[in-house]
Amino acid sequence: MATIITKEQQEKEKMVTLVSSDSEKFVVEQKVAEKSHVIKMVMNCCGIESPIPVRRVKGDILKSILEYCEKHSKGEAQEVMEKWDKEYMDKAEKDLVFFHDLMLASHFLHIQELVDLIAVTFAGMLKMKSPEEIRQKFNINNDLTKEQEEHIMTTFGWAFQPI
Amino acid sequence: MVNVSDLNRSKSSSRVTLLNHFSEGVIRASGIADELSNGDSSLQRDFSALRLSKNVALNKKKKKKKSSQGMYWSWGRTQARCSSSGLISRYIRGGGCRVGACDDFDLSFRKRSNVSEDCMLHRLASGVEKIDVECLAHGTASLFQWKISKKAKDVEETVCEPEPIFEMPLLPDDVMEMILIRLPLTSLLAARQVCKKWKLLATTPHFMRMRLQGSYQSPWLFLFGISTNRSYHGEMHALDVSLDQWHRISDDALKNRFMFSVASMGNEIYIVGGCSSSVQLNLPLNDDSFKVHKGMLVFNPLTGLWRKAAPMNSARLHPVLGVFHVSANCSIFNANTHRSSNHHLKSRSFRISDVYEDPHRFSLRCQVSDYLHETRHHSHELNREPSEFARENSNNQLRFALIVVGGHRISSAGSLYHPLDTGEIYDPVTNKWIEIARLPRDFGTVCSGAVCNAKFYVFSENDKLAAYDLEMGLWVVIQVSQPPPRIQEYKLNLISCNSRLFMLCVSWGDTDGLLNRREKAVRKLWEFDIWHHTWSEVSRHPDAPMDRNATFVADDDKIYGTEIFKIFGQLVDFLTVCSVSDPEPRWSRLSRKHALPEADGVSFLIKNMLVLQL
Repeated sequence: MATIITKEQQEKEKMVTLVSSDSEKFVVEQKVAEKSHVIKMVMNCCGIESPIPVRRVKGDILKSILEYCEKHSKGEAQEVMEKWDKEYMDKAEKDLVFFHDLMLASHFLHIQELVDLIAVTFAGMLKMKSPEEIRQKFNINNDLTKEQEEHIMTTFGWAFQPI
Repeated sequence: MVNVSDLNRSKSSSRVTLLNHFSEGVIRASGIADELSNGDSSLQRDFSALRLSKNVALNKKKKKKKSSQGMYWSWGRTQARCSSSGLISRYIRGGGCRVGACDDFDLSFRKRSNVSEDCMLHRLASGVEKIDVECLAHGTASLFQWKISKKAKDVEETVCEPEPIFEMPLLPDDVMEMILIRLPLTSLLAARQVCKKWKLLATTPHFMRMRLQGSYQSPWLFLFGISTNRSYHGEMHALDVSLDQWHRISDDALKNRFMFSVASMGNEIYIVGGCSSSVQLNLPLNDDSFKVHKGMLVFNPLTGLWRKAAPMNSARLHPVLGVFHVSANCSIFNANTHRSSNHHLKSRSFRISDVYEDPHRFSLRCQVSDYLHETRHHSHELNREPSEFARENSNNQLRFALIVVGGHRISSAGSLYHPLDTGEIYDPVTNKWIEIARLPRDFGTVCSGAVCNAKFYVFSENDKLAAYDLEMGLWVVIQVSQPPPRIQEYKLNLISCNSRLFMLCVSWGDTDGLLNRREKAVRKLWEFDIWHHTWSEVSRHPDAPMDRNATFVADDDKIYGTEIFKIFGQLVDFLTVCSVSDPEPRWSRLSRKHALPEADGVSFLIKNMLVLQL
C-alpha cells in the first residue's frame, strides 16, 4: 500500500506547472518543460513544487511552445518529426505576429531546436525576394541613403540580374 | 508611484526574478540580455520617464475636463524628456525586451488596462505615426504595471487594444543574425539592401565568419576568360549551382588579361600571372606587345572588392596553382622570418634538386652544409614538451598558403614559350612570396597540380609525378610503374577531392577492332593510391571529349568540369559534375543553360574555372 502512494507521489512530482504572462496555467511533464534550458535551470534550482511563472510569454505562445516540446520529448523517428515540424511551422508562419512572438519566446526560453527551426522557416520567407518585397512583407522602412543603395547596386548588381 | 528601490526589493524576493536571472546567464549577448544586464542603470532613467507618463495618465483621470489638446502637449513634453534619455522612446515603440527588468516589480497590483491607456496616449501623441506599442503589449503586457490607488482604479477607462502591427526589426540582433546567416548568397545580398540594420548585421566579419563555419554556403562555379571578338573584357561568369542561375560579373580589373591562373582561398579569388595586351588576342602569342605579369589580383565576391597582392618573383603565364591548408605554426611561415636572404634560399633549393641526380651525394652534403643545422633544429622541435604544442594548437587557426609552380615565360626571342621550373609560395597573412626549391631535373613541363594531404602533387608532360612537401620544403619524385595511358593533345587535370588524388585524362577507348579505335577517345577519371603508388580507373565520362582544354575543379566531394567547344558553328558550354564519395561515381549534366552565346573560339583555349563556397 505504502509503495503505491510513493509511486503516485513520484508521478505527481514529475508534473510541473507553468504560468504564462496572462496567468494561464499549464501543467506539463517535467521532461517536456526541460526542453527549455531556462526552465530547466529554474527547476533544478527551485524544484517543481510551486508553479513557475513564465512572465515574458503569453498563454497562446506558451501553449504552442509546450506543444512543440511535448512532441519533441517523445523521441519519435526523425522522418515523423520532420513532417510534424513542417506542419507546425506551416501553421505558425501564417500569422506573422504570432510567429515573431514564437521566435522571441523560444529564444528567451532557450529552446535551441525550436529557434533553429524558426530561423530556417524565417530565412525561407526571405529567400528569392527582392528588397522591396521583403520590406513590404515585414513592414520595414528603407532607411538606406541613396549613395548606399547605389553602392550596393554597382558592386552587387550582378547578383540581382541572372542571365 | 513606483520607486526603484521598491522594485529591487520585490525583484529579489520574486520567483520570476530567478527566471530573468537565469536567462541572463543563458542567453548570449542578445538584445534581451543586454536590456537585462543594463537593467539597473537604465532602469532608473526609464522609471523617471515612466513616472512622467504615469503623471499624464493620472492628470487625465483627475482632471477629466482637460482638453485633448492639453493632453497632447503634456505627452509631447514627456516624449521630449524620453528622447533626451534616449531609451524610453525605443521601449515605447515596442522594445519588448525591457519587460524582464520591470515586469516583476509588484505582482499583487497588476493593472492590465494601463497598458491600453498608454497606447491611447501614444496614439494621441503620435498622430500619424504607427502604433508599435502593441508589439510590446503583445505577450509582454505587464510592462506598465504599477501600483495605483483605489481612486485611480475607479476612474479607469477601458480602451480596446489596437490590432498589433508586425515589425521585423524588433527581433534581437542575434536572432536576426541567425535568420540572415541561413540565406543563400543572392538572398543575403538582397537582404543587405532592405535597411541599414540588416546591412550592418550581414556585413560584419563576425557574421561572415559564422556563415563560413556553419556551412550555410552553397557552391558557385566561376568561369574566367570567356572572350568575345578576340578580346577579353574582364568578365567572370558565375553559376549558382543550387539555383542553376548564371550571373555575369563585369569588372575592368581583368580587362584584356589572358592566360592567368586562378585559385580560391577562403572566400577570395586569386588571379595569378597571365599576360595583357592592348591589341587583339592572337594565339600563339608571338608579339612583343604582350606583357607577362608577375602580379596577383584578389577579388572577394562577398564584398565586391578588388585588391592587388604582392607580385610574384617571376612573371608566369598559366602557372600551376595549389592551395595548402596549414596550421599557423607551420614551419614554412616561422622559418621565413629567420631566413631573410634570398641567396641562401636559392642555394638551398639548388642542392635539393641535385638530390634527385645523385642520392649518394646527399649524405655527404649533409655533413658540410647548414642543412644539418636545420635538421637539428627540426629534431629539437620534435623534442619539445607536449604541453608546448598543446598551447600553440589552442590558439592556432587554420590558414592558407598558395603555391605557384611552373608556367611559361615568353623568351626574349619573342616567338617561344619557355617553361619555368621554379616555384614560390604566397602567405596571405604577411602578403609575401617565398621562393621554393626548383622542380626536380628532367621532370618536364608541369601541366597540372593539386594539393592533397598537405602535399602538392604535380604532373608533367613527360608523365612524371612529383610532390612538394611543405613541412620539409623539398620535392619528391614519385615513381609510378604505369602512368595512366593518355593522349598528349588533351589537357590533363590533377584534382584533389576529399583527401584523394584524382586525374582526368583522355585515352583511346578499349580495342574492339583495331580499325576504328581512333574514333573512340574516352575521358577517364583515375585515382592515385598514395601508399602503393598506382593509378586505378574510377569512372568514365559518358560524353565524348570535345574540348581539348577541358577544365576540371573540385570542392569537398564533387568534381566539376567545363568543356567549351564549337558544334554546328555554335559555341557550347557543357558542364558536368561527379560526386566521388559515391561508390560508383557517375557524371551528370550540371546546367542546361548556356551562359556564353556571344563567346568566340578563343575562349576554350584561355578559359579558367574555380569553385567557391559562397
